[in-house]
Amino acid sequence: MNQSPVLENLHIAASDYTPEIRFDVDGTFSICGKSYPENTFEFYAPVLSWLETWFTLPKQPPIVLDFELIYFNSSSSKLLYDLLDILDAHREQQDIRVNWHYHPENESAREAGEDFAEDFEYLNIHLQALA
Amino acid sequence: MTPRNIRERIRFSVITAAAMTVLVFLVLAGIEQINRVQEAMDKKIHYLAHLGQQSLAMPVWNLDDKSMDEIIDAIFADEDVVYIAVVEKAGVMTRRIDPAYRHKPLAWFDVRKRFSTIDVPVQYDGHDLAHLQLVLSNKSLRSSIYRDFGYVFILTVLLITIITARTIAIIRSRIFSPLKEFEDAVTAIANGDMQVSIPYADKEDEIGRLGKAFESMRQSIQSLIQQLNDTNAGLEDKVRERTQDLENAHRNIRSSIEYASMIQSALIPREESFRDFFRDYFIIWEPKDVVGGDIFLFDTLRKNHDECLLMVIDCTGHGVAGAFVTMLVKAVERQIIEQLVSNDEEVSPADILICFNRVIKQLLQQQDGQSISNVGFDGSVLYINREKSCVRFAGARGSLIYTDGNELKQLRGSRHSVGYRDSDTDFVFDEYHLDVQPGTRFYLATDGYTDQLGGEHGFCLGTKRLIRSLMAGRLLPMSKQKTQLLDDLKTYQGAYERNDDVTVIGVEI
Repeated sequence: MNQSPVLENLHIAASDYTPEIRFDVDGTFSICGKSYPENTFEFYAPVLSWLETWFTLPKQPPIVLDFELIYFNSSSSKLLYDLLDILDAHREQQDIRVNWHYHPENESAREAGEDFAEDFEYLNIHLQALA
Repeated sequence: MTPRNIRERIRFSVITAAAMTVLVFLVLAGIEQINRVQEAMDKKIHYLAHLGQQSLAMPVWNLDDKSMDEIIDAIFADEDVVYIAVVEKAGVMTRRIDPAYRHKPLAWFDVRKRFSTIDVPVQYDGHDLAHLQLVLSNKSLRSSIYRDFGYVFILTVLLITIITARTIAIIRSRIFSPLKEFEDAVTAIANGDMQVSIPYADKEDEIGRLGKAFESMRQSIQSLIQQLNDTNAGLEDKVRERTQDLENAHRNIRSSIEYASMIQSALIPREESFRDFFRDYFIIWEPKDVVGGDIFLFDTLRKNHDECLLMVIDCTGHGVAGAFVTMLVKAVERQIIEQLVSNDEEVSPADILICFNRVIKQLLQQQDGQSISNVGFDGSVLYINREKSCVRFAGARGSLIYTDGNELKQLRGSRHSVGYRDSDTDFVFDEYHLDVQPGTRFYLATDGYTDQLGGEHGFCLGTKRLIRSLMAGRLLPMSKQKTQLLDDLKTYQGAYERNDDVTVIGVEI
């Protein structure tokens, strides 16, 4: 039998300062809410390491990552950058789609999405205004 | 019907046992009485027969009817004798029958159990002369024995009834009443009354032993509760102590942070230096906590006082961690300025950012991905040369907003942070050069203002709102503009808490 890592779905409930995170093994990922944790690195470390592990699984379904962030501080933005960086590294061998949802009145959220789309021009980042 | 509790069950059993005892007694005693009657009758009939044989021998021999009748009458006088006859071969010589059994032949009596019959020869000198036939009724014997038996029976029933009643009474008073009292005591204890007195603890019987065991259990529980209460009281003391410790620790930390705040405030440029250099200015510098990660730096360069550097820096995080980085930034900035001044170099804000980037990465050993810390800053660096009417700007994710009184313009700095682990040591920041007229206003801000959450949906305040507000107040005295910005922020923030340090600096040349 293959020694494949055992990976459970990753669910982190939202708090006042942190977003809800749902990373399912089937490739459905989402990050929703606000992100300005007291210790950003500590908060995102398990998410990044989960994602790294996920890429070591023998068979990986296509990824759909949905962002719906109302607000995130600058240190969170660095961690989101790291997260997208991991995806970017696998974009050649993996079908990846990133949906960046923002409220039409949330100018900062839209700008942030635009910035990410610019930084990762080869990643499939779609900006989608929420109805 | 099955009795539903122990008490009724025991009563039921006792009464049943008593009834069975009486029944068995009756049967055994009855059999005994019947045997006795039989024995007594046999004895009597043989005795009377023997008497008759002896006394009748002579009269029968002599054919003395008179004597014969006297003897027969004497025997018949016995109340039990119902039939007596002397019979010879020729016929009945004399006979007496109880009138109740007139005309009954001897055979009639033979087959009935309540009679005993006997037929004996009357002899004289070895010759059989006649037969004496005798029938006894056991009626009177029976009735007298039955009467005795009745007395015994009544006495027995009475005795057993008394014993039964007494037994039940004892069981009730010695077992069930104590049990009821135990039940009451246990219920009281269950309801929390540990002071209840346990009954029968001084008695020596089984109930007394139960009472003693029960009493010792009550004492154990009471002492356990006492111990618990004591422990609780101890815990409360401990909690009070700990709370006091925490309060002390908090006070210490608080006063330490307040002292740190004094140090940080000392790093912040004096307002006089702004007043001396600029026609007008405002400063909004509001750390979220007592100390913060936002800092601004202002230095006039060289002797002519026409050149200055203004930097607004947003260090990683806020609070104490952010404040630590501001100290570092301040120290590095001093070095940079000194070098600039001593070398009399052309001032390049982009180079300054590059220098910050390299030095911070080096100082915090953040050159490689392995380092533990990952801090740095976003910021804006503005160089103003009044003499040459020019300004230079470079930003690390920071912007410059400026206005000549007509329109408002924004210059966005490079999208690259300074000092972080993944900040590129060789990154070259964009630098803007502008020719400006006196009266131009410049605004530098950290993202604290535009990132403040609030409004209808809880979104960020956003750059557009900031620009709109700055535009609206571009002709107001700058102190008024500051008030307006703060009012707008407060209104937008509403019930939301402040999420970051807020710094906005405005200057007019």
